[in-house]
Amino acid sequence: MVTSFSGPQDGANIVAYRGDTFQRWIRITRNGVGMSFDDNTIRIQVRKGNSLILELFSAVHIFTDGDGVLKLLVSAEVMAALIPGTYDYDAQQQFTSPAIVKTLFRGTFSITDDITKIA
Amino acid sequence: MSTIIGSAESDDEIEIIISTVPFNSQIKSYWGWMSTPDMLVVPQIVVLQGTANFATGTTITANFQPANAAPMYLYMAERASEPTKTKWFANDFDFGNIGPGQTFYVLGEVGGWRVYRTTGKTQFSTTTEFRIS
Repeated sequence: MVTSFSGPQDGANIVAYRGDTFQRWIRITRNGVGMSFDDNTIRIQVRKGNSLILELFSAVHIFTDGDGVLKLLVSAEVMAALIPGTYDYDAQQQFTSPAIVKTLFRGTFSITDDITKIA
Repeated sequence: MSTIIGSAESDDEIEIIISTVPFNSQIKSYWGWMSTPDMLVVPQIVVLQGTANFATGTTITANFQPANAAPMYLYMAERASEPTKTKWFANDFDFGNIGPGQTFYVLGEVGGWRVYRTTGKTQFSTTTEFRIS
């Protein structure tokens, strides 16, 4: 296990639409080879300062899709409850043995207000 | 739409691609030679040498010998509707003309295809392997 020299890579900005089912596919490769998620889990939190806006859990909102690909999925109902704005997020990788926490990437998480609301 | 960021970790190259569409398990790509640097506006000779559907992360072997009588630009094309992949990997059989992990220049889109080409003219005298990241 190597340790990042520079911390998480910034600039992985996401734009989401309030009230729409949120889906994103993220491929992470190391030297061209897909990263394995067999021995670790991924957590993602969206925050405004210290206030938690949204949290994505492994196997609930974050699914592995093979070959270093993660699929993020948040229901329309959950997205409809969010307040439009620009927030910050990062993706944290947690290993249990040995216990290592490493933040992979970060960026802004912008939520655009919708016009047609969920009935 | 996709976002690509990269970082370095202990000399390892980390690439992160965020896409609003799924990564296709099978990707169709074309590769070959082009005589001039811009296939968007300049009439030119394009020599198609191969096409295949292959899974991401797999390796294809391209034989560039038959049509490579003179140095030309190497190009590759993939469907523009698929997530952008800027890194192509070659082994050392190309005598250093394309190093491992070299970023190909994205030329633009032609008829729904995103076209990459090498930054300079090259001449291969053997087969070359490529892997899409």
